[in-house]
Amino acid sequence: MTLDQFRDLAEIWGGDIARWPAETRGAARVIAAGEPGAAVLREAAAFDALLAAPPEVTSARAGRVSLAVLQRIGSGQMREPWYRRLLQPASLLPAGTLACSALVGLWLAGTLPYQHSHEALAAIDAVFDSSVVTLWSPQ
Amino acid sequence: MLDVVARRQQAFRVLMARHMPRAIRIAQRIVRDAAEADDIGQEAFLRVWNKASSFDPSIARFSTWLYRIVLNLSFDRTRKPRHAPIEDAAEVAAGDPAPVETLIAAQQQRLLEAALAELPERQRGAIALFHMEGLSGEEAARAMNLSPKAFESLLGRARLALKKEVERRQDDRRRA
Repeated sequence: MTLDQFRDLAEIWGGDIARWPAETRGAARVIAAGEPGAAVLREAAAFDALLAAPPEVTSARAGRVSLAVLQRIGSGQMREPWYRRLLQPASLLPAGTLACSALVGLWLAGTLPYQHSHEALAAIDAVFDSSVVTLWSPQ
Repeated sequence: MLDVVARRQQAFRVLMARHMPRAIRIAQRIVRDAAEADDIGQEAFLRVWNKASSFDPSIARFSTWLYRIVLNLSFDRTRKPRHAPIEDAAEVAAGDPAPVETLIAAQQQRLLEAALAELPERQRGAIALFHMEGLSGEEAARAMNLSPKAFESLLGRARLALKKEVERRQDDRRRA
């Protein structure tokens, strides 16, 4: 290993030879025993120290985040799956109303004749007072 | 971890107590925003809880799996537009006089933070895993889903870019 190769490795892996790839360590230690090699390592180690400083995370902060995770898990477990929520009375009311309306519509479509007939119109008039629902009728 | 797979919350609490700080640290190093890092920590452990059964200890260590989740979430966030982090705001000097060494260290740290901000997020991730968390090259490569050679190249580029950026900023400061 040349000093240049040694310097390249220090630029990548830093000033601690123990953290370099295993196959390079033996030759690197020989270079590090001399002053030029040791100087390269010192410079790289100073930069490592600057990089190694992590952002501070207090245990209180980590605890708050953990608590938020547990709360989200708890609220997710309390929430029933969608098919169970559909079977609740509050959800069944609009669905039931819609189903009844559809049934009445189908029944009327089957009962009333397709062609205009005075009897049919009279039957509709009897159920719905058409004069009331007409737009121009006097209310 | 087997207890977590069995949905035992006590085991999950212990797991979070042990690993949450490092999840937040890594995320913060990459997204450079404390609140967003907290969100990523939360999201990462929700994934751990929900996908615990898919974790295979014969393939990877738990910490490697967690790092990978945190890195993916962090990289996703950095792709979205966001507000400038609070650390970028002008610093207000504290009232108490600090020792010279502390001031120099704080100044160097600010310099490094500013230089790190210029790096692509994957390079920040490589620096965080290898230098800050102390992972070996192989472990960091596995966590980033890279080959050892690709990680070596990424780390080398990151260190070189960071060194140049720190030197450039130091020169600018001296000239000013």
